[in-house]
Amino acid sequence: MAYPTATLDVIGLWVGWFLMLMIYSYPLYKENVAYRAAEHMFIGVTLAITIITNFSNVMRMCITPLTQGNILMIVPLVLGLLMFTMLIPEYRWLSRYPVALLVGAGFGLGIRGTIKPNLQDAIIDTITAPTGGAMIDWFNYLYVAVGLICSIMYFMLTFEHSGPLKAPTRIGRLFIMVGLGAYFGNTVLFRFTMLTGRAQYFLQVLKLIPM
Amino acid sequence: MAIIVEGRLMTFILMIIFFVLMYYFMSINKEQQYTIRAMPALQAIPEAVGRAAEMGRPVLWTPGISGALNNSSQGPQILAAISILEYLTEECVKAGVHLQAIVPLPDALPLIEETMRTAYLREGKPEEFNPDQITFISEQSPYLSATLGYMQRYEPASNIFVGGFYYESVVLGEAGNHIGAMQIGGTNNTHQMPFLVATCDYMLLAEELFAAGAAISQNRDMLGSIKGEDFMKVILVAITGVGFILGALNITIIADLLGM
Repeated sequence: MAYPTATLDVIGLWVGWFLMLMIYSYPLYKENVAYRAAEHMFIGVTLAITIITNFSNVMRMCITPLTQGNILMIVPLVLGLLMFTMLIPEYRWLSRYPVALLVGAGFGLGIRGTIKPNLQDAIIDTITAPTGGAMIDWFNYLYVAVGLICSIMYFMLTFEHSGPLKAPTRIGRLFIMVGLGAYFGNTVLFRFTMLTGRAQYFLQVLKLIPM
Repeated sequence: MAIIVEGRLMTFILMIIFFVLMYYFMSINKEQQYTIRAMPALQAIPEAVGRAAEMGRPVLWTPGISGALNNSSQGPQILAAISILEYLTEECVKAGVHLQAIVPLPDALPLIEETMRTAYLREGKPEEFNPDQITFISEQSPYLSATLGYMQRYEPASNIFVGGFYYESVVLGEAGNHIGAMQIGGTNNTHQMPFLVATCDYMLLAEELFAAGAAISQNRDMLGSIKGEDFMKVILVAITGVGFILGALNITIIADLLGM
């Protein structure tokens, strides 16, 4: 992508550059007016976009089909409108109905996709022994099985971690910490990549490096 | 058309077994009360409120962006977080501490407001509840910016981050550390746990969050379901242990059965 030439594009580029500096003024200096202005602008603009998107979605998916004769669309429309009753203290209780429906339907649909990947597939992968004779494969086989069993035992919540459960739950805790550490390192790396992207943008706008 | 799709028979059987187990433990819990093991994060909540009272600063509670109620994996987290909020609100009312909730979830908003209102009522101070104690900001980035802004301006003494978190966990945790707040975290989202572990003083890891919700509410059905879950875990540990030994001997019967 080349450096833009159209006036509006150039303005957009510089507005983004200044807003970025305003936001970075907080970690680089301290809380200040510039940071607060950028923060409020960001919240306002995003909320405005959300309202417009949601309004168009309701119009496209509900109102338009309703006006074209799809009478069933009245159900989601009424349920959606009931959510607004939380603004009227006298009728606030009505907003519980759409919430109850959302919770029930969501959980019911979710059960189907939980057992197989989270339980069955995880156990099958753990207890499928390596086909080759490489030492490292067998070590992994043992490591994963011990890690899984001990980690599950750590999450036995109605048993105290004492007596016969003390050793496995402690090992489970260590496995969990190793796993979380790996996640942490991976994400820190990704966040640094994002920071690099911002630094690149900073220099590109100043034409110090090509766009 | 087959009644049970191939490859899903064991899923169905396991679902039935788990359902029966849960129902059994929920039923017998009517006579017998189960207890949840000690969790330091839960015991630290009064300490967090006491700290805020001593410093004359507010307590901040926020449940993260991901716990939409209609989402089967995320929804339970917000329900557990609301149970913790109830306990936290009661502690704050007793200590006369201002509690601020910043909520990005429109569907959970009525529940949260009702929970806080009821907690004030239970403590005999319904007139002190102000709906402005709940700030609603939708969408992840605006919610995050608003919460960061609140932290910088009001410097809460304690932050309670419990619920379904996405990337806001690390940003909020870091900002809380920056202002020197005592922090209690809890989420079931594996990919966000490391950040809460790194930035919070106390942590409710994964299912501990749900157990904490049950322990606080002392709801017999919830406690019974946690006990039922524990027995499911015993069964799964046994299946994995036996399967591991048989697998090493090249006997794949357990894996084959699970794959049915």
